[in-house]
Amino acid sequence: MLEKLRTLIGLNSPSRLWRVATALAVGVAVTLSVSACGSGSSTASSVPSGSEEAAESVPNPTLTVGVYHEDLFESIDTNLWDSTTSWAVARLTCVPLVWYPNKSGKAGEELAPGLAEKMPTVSSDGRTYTFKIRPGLQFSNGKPLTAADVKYTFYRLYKVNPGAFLPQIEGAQAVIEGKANEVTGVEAKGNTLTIHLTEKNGAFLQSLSQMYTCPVPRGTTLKPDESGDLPASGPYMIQSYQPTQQLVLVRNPHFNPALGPRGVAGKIIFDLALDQTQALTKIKLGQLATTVESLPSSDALLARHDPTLAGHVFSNVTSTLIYMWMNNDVAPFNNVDVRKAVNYALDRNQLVKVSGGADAAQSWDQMIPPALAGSSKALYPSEPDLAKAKQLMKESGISLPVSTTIYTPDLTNLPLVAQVIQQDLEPIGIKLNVHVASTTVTSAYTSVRAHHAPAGFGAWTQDYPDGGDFMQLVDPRLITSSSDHAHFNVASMIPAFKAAEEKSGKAREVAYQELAKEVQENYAPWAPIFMQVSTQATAPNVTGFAWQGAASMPLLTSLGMK
Amino acid sequence: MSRTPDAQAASGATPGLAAEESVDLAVGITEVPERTARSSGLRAVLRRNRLVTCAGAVTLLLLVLAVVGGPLAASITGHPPNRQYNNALNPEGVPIGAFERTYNAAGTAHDPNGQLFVLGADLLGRDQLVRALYGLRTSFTIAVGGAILAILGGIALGVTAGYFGGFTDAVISRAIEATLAFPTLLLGVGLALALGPGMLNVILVISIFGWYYPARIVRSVTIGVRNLQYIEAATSVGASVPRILFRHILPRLYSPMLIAGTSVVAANVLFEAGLSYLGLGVPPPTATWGQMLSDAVGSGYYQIDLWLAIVPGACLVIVVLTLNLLGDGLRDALDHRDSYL
Repeated sequence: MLEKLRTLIGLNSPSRLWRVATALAVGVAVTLSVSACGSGSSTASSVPSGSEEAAESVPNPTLTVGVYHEDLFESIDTNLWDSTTSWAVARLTCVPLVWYPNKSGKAGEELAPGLAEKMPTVSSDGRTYTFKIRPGLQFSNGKPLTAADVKYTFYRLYKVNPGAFLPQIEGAQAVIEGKANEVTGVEAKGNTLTIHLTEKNGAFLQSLSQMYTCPVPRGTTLKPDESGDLPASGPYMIQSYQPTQQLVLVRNPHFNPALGPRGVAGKIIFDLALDQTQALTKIKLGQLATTVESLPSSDALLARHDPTLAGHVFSNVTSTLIYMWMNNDVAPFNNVDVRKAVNYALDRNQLVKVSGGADAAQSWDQMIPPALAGSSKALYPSEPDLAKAKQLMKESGISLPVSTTIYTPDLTNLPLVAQVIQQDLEPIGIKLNVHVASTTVTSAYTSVRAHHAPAGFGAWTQDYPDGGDFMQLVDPRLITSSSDHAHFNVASMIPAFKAAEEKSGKAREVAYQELAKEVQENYAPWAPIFMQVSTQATAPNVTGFAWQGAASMPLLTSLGMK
Repeated sequence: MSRTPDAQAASGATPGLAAEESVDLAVGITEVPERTARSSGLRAVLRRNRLVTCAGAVTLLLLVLAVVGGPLAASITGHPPNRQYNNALNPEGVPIGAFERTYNAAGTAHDPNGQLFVLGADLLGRDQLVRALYGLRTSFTIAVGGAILAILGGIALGVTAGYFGGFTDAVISRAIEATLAFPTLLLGVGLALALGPGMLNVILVISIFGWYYPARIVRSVTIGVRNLQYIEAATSVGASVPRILFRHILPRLYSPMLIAGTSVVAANVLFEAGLSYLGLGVPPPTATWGQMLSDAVGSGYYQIDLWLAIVPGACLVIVVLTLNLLGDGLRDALDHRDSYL
């Protein structure tokens, strides 16, 4: 699975050899690239929400969109798209079989046909999906886009991106292992595409919405193509690409409008060398239309109070959940009462404040995001309930005070967040040592179960809007996965995980809501802290800002210029 | 010119002459009672150079502040150094500035009866004045601790190299040059990461990269002294090597090491701040200036509240400038390069 887990942790008390190795590794450490694979459900566009209709005063405008240089593409290859920024480009240059379309509001949060003419028919055993590919589709090079191309795409996907997070399609493993020249579970006949799964999976269609399933023509190289020359299927195509510098998109002349809006801009230039600290200044000067990522919280605040940007600052809750995981195997967090006490003791409102206020975070106490959690009421308070927390600590039976460590990556405001938690837990008898290290080091250390890291921070951005995408992080069956830092291992919960996994549609949504509630209320493996909020500003002459909730990013097709 | 202990003894200043001490007179070394001359020289320098006097006074003040400043400020303001005041941040997370009071419950306005923060609050709502003073203590503890270790190491290696010469000198000198050739901060960062956070580890890292500077000076002084006649005389009457080192050579190092020490401490203050800035210093919540700067700059909030950067930045400037001025003044007063000729 291509994860964009920035679950990060630090080093502490490892063996000397490990420490030395770490020191050496740091020399070449790269910054964490948080790939936000995913579409996301997201929500509530807060303060002023832009209109999807763009001003027509400048026809086919050229817009420059900033991408912070810290978060560059992992790859420009269609079947390797796997980061927030690459998905911003992917949503302009390609369309998968089914997806969350380039629309704002509810329309963008409902799974809809993409290349497929309509949603597929599913066999009674839930293992076979049959799609009809829209007729008359073309790649940007003018070649027809057919079911056979989609079949080839799955083959290439498993060849170049074997870690792609897709439920098991029959024959995929043989391709990954180099034993087959096609995915036997994918059949193409005329415009009909049939996919056979090895087992039923209720989230299969959502997983197909991931942008690395976008089609490539038959015969495309089976090696990663970083030239930017792969033909597009979306409203734009790549005109030129200079890695780490600039990516220029122009309209795709062969785009079929049945696939979605064409996009207002005639040309979109991605500035890939943008220094985060210069973004706001460039936006104010009109040198940038907007940014793909959120402004830093201090810049968001400056923008919010800048009269020249009045009406041009937009905050939206993303699908990224920031949480504190507690290692269920390690004292004192191997005691469920202690974990619950932590949840009651946290001052989530203050944690939001030190993270930059409402333009940067929204207090949250559950394991799945608000958009997926339904009407589920708060499980734990936003303001600390110290009386309850102290009672739980007393009931835990452990001798107080107890000392433990939280591994903290030096990422944005997390060291500050850790210190707030440190103060929050002191009154209930937990002396928390804050161990700050680079994101890479922290992640490397805490990912190893044998290190017994007691606590740390996790950040998860959904791959697609599905409770299962979050709950997999604490699935007892996946306890050995590097993503599972809490090591939640309650065997009696496995049937509930399995049952939810097999459901689809509304039943699945409800099942995961109940599962998330049960796990967090009864076992509290995490202390969820807040949902990240993304704040973008647009240049004074830019119109049409809108938010694609499922993807948790600005809807670039709607941006125009007056 | 400095007077050696043996010569001093020979001149009758110290009762009970050792056998080799009497030789000093025999070889005709002319000793000038120098303590008085040097003291008067120091006073003269201080009189001439008011800045040095000021630097000395400020250094003394800083040392006093490092010891009692933090607790005193915390006691007067009622703000412990690590206590986070929720109402010192507005709802957008912006801390109150200098000479401002905490916000009301709604966070919409300053409460006239709220608590006063003289230098404002940091990003967690902690008192910047109190933390800056505690930061001084942290900074001095690490810088002085690191300097002592570095100087002791430098003296040991420098004396060894300078006195014994030959292969020993070659090895130690090459080690000094090799250490000099490495980018100190980069290696320091790597080492700090390997050792993990903590005050003792930071002191160790700093001393590891601070020994070569005093070692070079010590080696140079030792080479200058070892061939002097009174050393030869001491050797000829059977004085042991330790005795020569401890009685005749080490006293010569007092002045250069005092001068070097101020520079090393100043450099260590910056080194510690650099490590803390990178998150490799003393772990939170202990106050360090580097961490305060890092929080202000890393978050970008210095653009909104300049005090966040000014307070730790100004503290660093004052301390480093003061120590460097003191070092310059001490060199003027004490560093008589011809004193052992």
